[in-house]
Amino acid sequence: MDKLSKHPSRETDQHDEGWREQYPIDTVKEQNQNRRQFLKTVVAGSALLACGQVALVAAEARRAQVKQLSDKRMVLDVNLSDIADGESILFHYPDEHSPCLLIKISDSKVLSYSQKCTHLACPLIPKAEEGMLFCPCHKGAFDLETGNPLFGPPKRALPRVQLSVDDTGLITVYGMEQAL
Amino acid sequence: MNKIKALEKQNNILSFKITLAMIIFAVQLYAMAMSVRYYMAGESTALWPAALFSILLLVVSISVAIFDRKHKEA
Repeated sequence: MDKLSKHPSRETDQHDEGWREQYPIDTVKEQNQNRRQFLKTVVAGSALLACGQVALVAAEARRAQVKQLSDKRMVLDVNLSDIADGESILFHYPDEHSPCLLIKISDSKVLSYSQKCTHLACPLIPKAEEGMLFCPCHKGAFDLETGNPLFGPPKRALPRVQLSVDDTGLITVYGMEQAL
Repeated sequence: MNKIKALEKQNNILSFKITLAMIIFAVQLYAMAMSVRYYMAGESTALWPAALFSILLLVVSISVAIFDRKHKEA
């Protein structure tokens, strides 16, 4: 084995040889992170980030495919007469990863939006008495009537769920309006 | 004297390459953070351009590294 270099601060250490035999790590080589190696490390980091971007695009494409496939009519298993005025129910549409809220204002007025905040996808809490949907994560809020952001970090409106209610109170969901 | 100047020039070029690679890395990191944010919010329109931009920057970064390697060998 080649003679190992010593760290400058350990030149006078009397017990050096003992531990050096047990841990034969060359101090100079260990600390030899020169600028060219650093450049390679930065380029490798760039490659990783680019791969991450491509992975995100692939995940988004898959999500869009799933949404397109499941964009169909769905009858909710709750009747409108079972919901009190101002009360809301949670359901999932168009897939099981997309929570939506249905809020009953009156017998003739029912609203439904995606429950994901358009800021960072936190679940929204409906506050019908205050006329808004509140995001507790960053104190944002959306207008209950229009889905437009009222205050806080969100800048885009909530995607609105299209639904119809028949004479018997049966609620049918048939699409989702993408927010502008 | 000429040798010293040549060394100084070489050193400056290497510093410039490292700075450029670091700036590219920082911009890519920012683009990645923005993309994750938009992805989480369900907004997909900016993802494709961001990915293409990131790949373009990666090509520039790799070109710098290859240029540096050739320079070192020369």
